[in-house]
Amino acid sequence: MTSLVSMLYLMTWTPAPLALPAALARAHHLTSDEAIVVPFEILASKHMAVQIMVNGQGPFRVIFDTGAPFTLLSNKVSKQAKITFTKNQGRANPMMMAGSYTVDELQMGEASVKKMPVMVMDHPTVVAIARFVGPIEGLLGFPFFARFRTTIDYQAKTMTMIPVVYEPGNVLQDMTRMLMAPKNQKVIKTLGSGGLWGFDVAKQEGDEEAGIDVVQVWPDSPAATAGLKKGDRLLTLDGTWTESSEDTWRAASQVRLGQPIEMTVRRNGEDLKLTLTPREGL
Amino acid sequence: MKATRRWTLVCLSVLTLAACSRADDPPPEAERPAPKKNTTIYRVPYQLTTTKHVLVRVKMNGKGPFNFVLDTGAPALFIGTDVAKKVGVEPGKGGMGVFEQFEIEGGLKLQNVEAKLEEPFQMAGMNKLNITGIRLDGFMGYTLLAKYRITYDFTDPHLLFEEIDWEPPPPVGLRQMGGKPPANVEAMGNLSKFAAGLLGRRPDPVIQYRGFIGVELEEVNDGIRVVRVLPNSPAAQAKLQAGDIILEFADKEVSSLTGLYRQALKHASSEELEIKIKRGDKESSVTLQPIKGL
Repeated sequence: MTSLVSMLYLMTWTPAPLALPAALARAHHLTSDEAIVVPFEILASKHMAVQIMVNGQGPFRVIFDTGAPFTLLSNKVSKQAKITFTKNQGRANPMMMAGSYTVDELQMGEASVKKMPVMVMDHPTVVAIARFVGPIEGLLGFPFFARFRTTIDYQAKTMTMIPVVYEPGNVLQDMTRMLMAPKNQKVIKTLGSGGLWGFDVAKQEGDEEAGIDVVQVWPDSPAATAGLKKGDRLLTLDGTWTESSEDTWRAASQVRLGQPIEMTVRRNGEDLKLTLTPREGL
Repeated sequence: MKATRRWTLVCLSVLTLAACSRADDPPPEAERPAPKKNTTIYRVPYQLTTTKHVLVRVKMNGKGPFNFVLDTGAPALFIGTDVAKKVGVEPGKGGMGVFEQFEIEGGLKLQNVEAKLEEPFQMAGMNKLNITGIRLDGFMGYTLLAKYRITYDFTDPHLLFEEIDWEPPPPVGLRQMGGKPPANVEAMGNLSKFAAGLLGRRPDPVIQYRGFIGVELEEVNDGIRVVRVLPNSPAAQAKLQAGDIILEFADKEVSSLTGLYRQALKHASSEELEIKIKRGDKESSVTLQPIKGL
């Protein structure tokens, strides 16, 4: 039970880049400088369609869907590309029975991902769209495009992709794990920033105005150096709206230490921009 | 088998692919060529949910923020009717509504944005289950997304929205293309709502904050050195001094800042902590009472 609890704590409620201190979340290395340009088609339904190769077979036309947490392929593709079942690890995994498979290689133009989990299914919405726009064999979702720095240009009808070091995880496994947990499982999310800023914020119950009150500024801290004052209304931190402590912490945890960022504060009815550089510390 | 079916339904319910069925679609226009270079680029903060949805926040008519899923699988901008009502917008012709002010976090301010006022079943299902722990208020689809060159990079905490000088041709509903809304799609929606009802709502996560101590630190050869102790901070109260080397933090040996931050994140601001330090040649334990602060 304990392992399940900690797994939940780690896997489900912690959006990957958020809860980690900036120093840990700094995996911003590109694996290649070479940008891959892939053309796409705008269907009459205004979905983006791309051609993919699955295990060297194809091409198959699929919808490119940033709203899809997983990749879904039709039974036709599965058969033609000989997609294999994901091996059952340990105890019974209900999602496996529901069609969790692994593709050895999925290619979209020059962009390629190996060993990618997919779902095999003739999804009714996909089938319905295909009836009007011609064959569609699935949806290409997050586990594929998350491996690239992806720029979508509807006007040019191209996607520009640069591989990045990012592990998208397996949403089906995560969700199964989460949904298998007891319904009233308490989920704790600890927010924090590695780094020293030197201020605190708070919002009164029922305060619906934009921003949050600065309730403490420690002397000699980066916040004090930046000119932040107790009583200021903090409106944004590095472009993020600070409507709550949670927002403030979340924004702060994503800033690289030593890098100056802008804060907007309201003081005596005037909006001011302050530049603050967080330093290493706690 | 019943359980399996239920999982499948719930998992499918997070697929936001939507087919537009706007009844009064204008006819498609010829696409305009001549791309013009425009250099306004907005850095838009986002959150990635448990369900791997990319969320951006929006203030509408000065109210909010509301959470939107960026969804190239949706042909238009969808906003739940109750959310629209909250900001004073009622559905008009064809279930459409116009939002006078529509501000995307990161400084992108739009005016008179048209949206389909409807809560797609995927959104209803996810909210009912509270899968993400974050309320979803809308889907941002083609009609809005196509106006920008958008860069997604999950190693970066911001998306980039680059304005392009182009008016995307409006979407055509499936209905206009000669079909009717597929019955099995609707059936699926109902089933997923049913599954959500069976599984019940997940509780909201409990938010806590890593404790504030009030020390500036640096990594040196023999560990982590205290550079400065802020006045009136928990560190000052515990009589920590500049030059102290931190050896252990909450009973864990720490030798790098990254390791220390990771360890600090495991302890909420209300928790008393013990740290082991070296001052000169002497080692000692210090009890700290962290507080809330950044």
